Amino acid sequence: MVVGGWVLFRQARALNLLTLGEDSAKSLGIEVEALKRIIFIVSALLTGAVVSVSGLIGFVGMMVPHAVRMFVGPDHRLLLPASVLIGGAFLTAADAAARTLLAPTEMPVGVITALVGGPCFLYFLVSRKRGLSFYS
Amino acid sequence: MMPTTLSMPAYTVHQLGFHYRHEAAHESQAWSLREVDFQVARGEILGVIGPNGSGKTSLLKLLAKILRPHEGFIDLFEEKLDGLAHRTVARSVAFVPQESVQVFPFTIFEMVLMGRFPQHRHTIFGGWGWEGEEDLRIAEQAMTTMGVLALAHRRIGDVSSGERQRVMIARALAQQPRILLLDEPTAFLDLNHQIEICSSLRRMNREQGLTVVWVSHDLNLASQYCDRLLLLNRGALFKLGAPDEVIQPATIAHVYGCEVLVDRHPMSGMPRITLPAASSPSEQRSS
Repeated sequence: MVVGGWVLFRQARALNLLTLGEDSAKSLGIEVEALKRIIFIVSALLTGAVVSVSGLIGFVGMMVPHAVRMFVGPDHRLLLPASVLIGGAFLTAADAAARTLLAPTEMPVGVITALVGGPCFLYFLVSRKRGLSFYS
Repeated sequence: MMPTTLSMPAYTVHQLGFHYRHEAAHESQAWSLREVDFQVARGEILGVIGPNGSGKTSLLKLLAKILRPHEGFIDLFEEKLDGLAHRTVARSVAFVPQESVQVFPFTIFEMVLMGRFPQHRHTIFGGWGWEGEEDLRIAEQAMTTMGVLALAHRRIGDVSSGERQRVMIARALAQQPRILLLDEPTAFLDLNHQIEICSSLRRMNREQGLTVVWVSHDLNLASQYCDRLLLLNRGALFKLGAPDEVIQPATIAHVYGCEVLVDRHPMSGMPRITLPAASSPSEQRSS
């Protein structure tokens, strides 16, 4: 986890450049194919490791980065660590809610994240159509 | 001002060939560029002109190492371009694309600062490094040159396409390149901004020896500001020389397939092209 995270954070500035498109990224000195391979492999490994511990919890990864981008801006040097922190905090809160709302029965935490995440996702989709794009 | 000896050219292009469709490489018309030979002298402004689809943009992208040649080679300051890392190329060559898409809401200042990336040293935190005082100063200087400093904190999606174009040039200048490659830099610009950009490019060319390779469909602008013009026709080099030699009625008629009038610009004396009238007065009378 630590190693994988470090590898990804190292690429934050290069990721900013990749948002310009592959041609511009190349002309600014990025080895685009190598970068994409690193990002794909490392993020797949990280996701696999995390899911093997927590099980499937939907809508967190889909929603948190987009929400965080609204507050800290699109610079990955801030966006990546902020997403880690906010994502963790959000999931802790969702877990607490899942355990207490119907106490003594516990709900799966995925229900809470989907309840919050679904509407948020729709909101992003609609605002994107209006041209306030957050997502490529 | 054009250097007559090419003792140490910026670029040497030898028998360059490039095609987009691999499966059709045996068909001669599938090649975007073929057997192109030329040199770019240090400190010159070279204009690349030609009809749509003649290979101008492909040529520029090959020079920027965005595309790789299928035949022949390119030397950058007498080193094989193919053997250089993208980052090494980006330290001396900056590329300004014709159109740029940016979907994330970066500010213009952040966009221009991205031009500092290739100069950044690889440390243990690698790509995470923040820009230093020096980077900020260079980016501000580049934005001042392109007249976009006032927009620094606007988001890139909120400015006009002409302003975006100038931001892209500012980003390229922030790379502090020795060679600047521009693909239709004046396409979205008003007359006054066209002249402003061309003049500041020429000033940097004359004062700092910046080498400029500039793709343009505006023959008049190219002939005013370029030391030499390279005319492409269907992927082949048709003519290379001073604007005087290239902009000639017969040449233009042959390559573009339309008749034009060529006279002299009243102030600079450079060749000037005028399109023929939609219908000549005699035709109007007879109708």
